[in-house]
Amino acid sequence: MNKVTTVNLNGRVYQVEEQTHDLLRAYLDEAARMLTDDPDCREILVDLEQAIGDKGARCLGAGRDVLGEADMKRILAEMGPVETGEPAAGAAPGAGAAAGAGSPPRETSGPKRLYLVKEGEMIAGVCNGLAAYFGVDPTIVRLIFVALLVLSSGLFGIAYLVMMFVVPTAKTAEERAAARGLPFNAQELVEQAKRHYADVKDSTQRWRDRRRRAKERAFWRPKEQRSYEEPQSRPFERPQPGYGARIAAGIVLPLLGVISAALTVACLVAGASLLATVGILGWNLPPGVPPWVAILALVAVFALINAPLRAVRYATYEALGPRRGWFVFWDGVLWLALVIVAGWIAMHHVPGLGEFIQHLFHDWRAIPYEFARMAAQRLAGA
Amino acid sequence: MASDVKFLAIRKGLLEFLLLKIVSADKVYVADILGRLEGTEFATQEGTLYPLLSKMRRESLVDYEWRESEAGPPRKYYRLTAKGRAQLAELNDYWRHINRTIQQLEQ
Repeated sequence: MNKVTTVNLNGRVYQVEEQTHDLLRAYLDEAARMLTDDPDCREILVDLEQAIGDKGARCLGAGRDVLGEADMKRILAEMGPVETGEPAAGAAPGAGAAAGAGSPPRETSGPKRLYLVKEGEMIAGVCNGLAAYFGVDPTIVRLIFVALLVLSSGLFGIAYLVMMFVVPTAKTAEERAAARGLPFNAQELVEQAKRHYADVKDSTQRWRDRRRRAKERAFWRPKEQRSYEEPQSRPFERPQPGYGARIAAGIVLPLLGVISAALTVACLVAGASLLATVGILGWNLPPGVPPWVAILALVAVFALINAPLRAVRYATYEALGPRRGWFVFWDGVLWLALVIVAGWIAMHHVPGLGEFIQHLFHDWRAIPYEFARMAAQRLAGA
Repeated sequence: MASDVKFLAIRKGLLEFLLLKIVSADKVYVADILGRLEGTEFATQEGTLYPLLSKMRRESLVDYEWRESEAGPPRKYYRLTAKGRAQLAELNDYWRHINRTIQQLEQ
């Protein structure tokens, strides 16, 4: 006697024998594995379930109400193995119904590399990256770093700056996984990638679809037209920002651009004037404070002021909705233009700066020597 | 001979072209497509067809709408988009061109 269970295939309920259920499960699992890289994975799985359900319905009726193992084997053989354009790693080509196809063992840990991690960073993501690499809380790394900074009287600040420029930033999902030493094909990561894809790509596509459909409906579609959208296969719906939010974003973005450009130029001018005159625009450093400490402090202050500005900026980008690509691009261009204009004004109106820049351009090869000389002077003075 | 790997590759490459042809004629449901291909050397199965159609939809070559069926849940009916039609025309031309080239080489 066989145990009977119930399965729900996309809305249709079937009674199946337990072995049948296992066969079905194996087929769908294999299909899901083959489709892990497919952005429409969920939708295709629903389609497959429905097709299996249709075939099952044809088997039943007239005195039969349980799908047996032989039925399911035949149905799955008819369905054929799920194939995508590119063969997935370890896929058994041409395997019949997924009955016996065992999946190959997966990697349990991936390669580990040091990256700057930009998610939740304070300055450039160095501490964050180190924390990810060693698998500890970023706050602990930051505290240790600050302690070392104080103990080494600031020398570690240079290490930070060097790492900031030398260590690459984790940009792709793969790199972010490597920053933590996670296996790249781990299930969680695949989910994360899918979420990301659904957020960015699909929302653009859906926005276009919806707009076109709205147009069609408005012109000649009767009311009973079904929506093409299929709720259960589109779980990552992002609310569409209203026109008010977009207009507000359009006003706020240039303003933010002006402020942030001014801030950047101010920081650069202050840094340059610090180097040139060992004082900020006539205000001299207190005795005993070396210029590089002042520069580090300047960078820190800049980062502190800039962080909330940047946060608002990103939030504004969000408000622009799926079509933000061009807004962001033009915002970047505007920002660059503002920096150039402000820099030009600063160069011509801040005393000493123009000469300093000219001096920089004139003999940039001498700069390391200049620094060494300045450092030697400082040391001799101290 | 027809089961040779090389022949398989050719058939696989042509499948998308054939789908465009079939879908261009009428709004079709996956079972219709399978029926049209059944018995030909391009006979295919749901496991291959659904991922391919989904890819073609992402490339905006085909689109679908839901329609009620006599029994069971509503079905997806596929049709060509303007882009799909343009691509089909191009492929038709290209196919004729290739045939001409092959014939010329045989002479």
